[in-house]
Amino acid sequence: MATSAVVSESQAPPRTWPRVLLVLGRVILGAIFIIAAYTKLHFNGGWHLGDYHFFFGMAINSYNLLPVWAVELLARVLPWFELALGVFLIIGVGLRWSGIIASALLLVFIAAMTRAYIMGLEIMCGCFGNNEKLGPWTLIRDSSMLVLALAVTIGAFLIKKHRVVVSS
Amino acid sequence: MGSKSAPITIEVFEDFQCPACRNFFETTVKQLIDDYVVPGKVYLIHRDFPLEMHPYSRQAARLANAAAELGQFGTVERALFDTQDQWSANGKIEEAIASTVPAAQMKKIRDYQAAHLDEINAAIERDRTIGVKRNVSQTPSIYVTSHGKTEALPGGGVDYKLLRNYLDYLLRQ
Repeated sequence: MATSAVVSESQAPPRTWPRVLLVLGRVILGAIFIIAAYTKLHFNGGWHLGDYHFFFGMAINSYNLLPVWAVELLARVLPWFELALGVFLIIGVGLRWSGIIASALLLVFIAAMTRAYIMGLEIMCGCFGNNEKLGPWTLIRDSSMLVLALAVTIGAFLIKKHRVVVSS
Repeated sequence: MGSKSAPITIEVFEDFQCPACRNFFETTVKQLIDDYVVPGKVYLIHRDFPLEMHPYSRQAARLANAAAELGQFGTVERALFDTQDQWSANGKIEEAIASTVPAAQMKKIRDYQAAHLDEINAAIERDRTIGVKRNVSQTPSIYVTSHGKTEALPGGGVDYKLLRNYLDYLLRQ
């Protein structure tokens, strides 16, 4: 009985809207990560490919979470990591993994931001550029991005599962 | 503060009653003065940006401006930040900084302030206007000018080690 159910499902016309939604979601999420990277490399009216890490490091350090060496390392790496993640999301290669990484990254960001907000630190968010104040708006925005990242991740897993069921 | 011909100029928009400014002064500015301003590598400009939420910051700024005209800015700035907790509570600034600024000096500053009040207020307003034009929304806000280019650092103060790395990078250019 189970086998015949799978066969009948595979014979049904494939629904396109979940795939369209997933493509839309991953493209939006990818674009957000690319914009986040861009604002860390291009600010104060110009590109800062040689010194971006000084500015971004100062923004990260204001969270009072990491030792200076870790701040400097993160400041150098994170913008390029966000850029690569954004590209992977838009292309759709390894979508389940990029979805998981994006969700985890956003979760860490939100945790750090919430901690800073609760502690009453009047600091820059460091999310999109270095001069955006941390506040309720930045928390709501990043939380919405997390919801989108989770939706993309779950969607990627569900579609993969559906493919496996159909092909079997 | 320092040499005007220094290769780097740092402008700091500050409010003497702001705790983040005090923290920035204690942890970063003091070392910056010793390591970069005194050796002539950095020209440090204090700009007044008294925030409305701080009732005594303008009073403190007036005192610091009068002291600056008498060549005593460094002493009074240090005294204002060191005793911020005391005078922030009751507005008795002169009383609070009396332990650091000698009475005779304090009298000269007070007299100068009384005689040049309009000019001092105008100077504070000039600084504020510069800050508003640069979209300063919080204190301290730091601007670094080097090789003819001005960069805004992330607002809210900067760790000294990170600032030092950036200044050394600029000096190497």
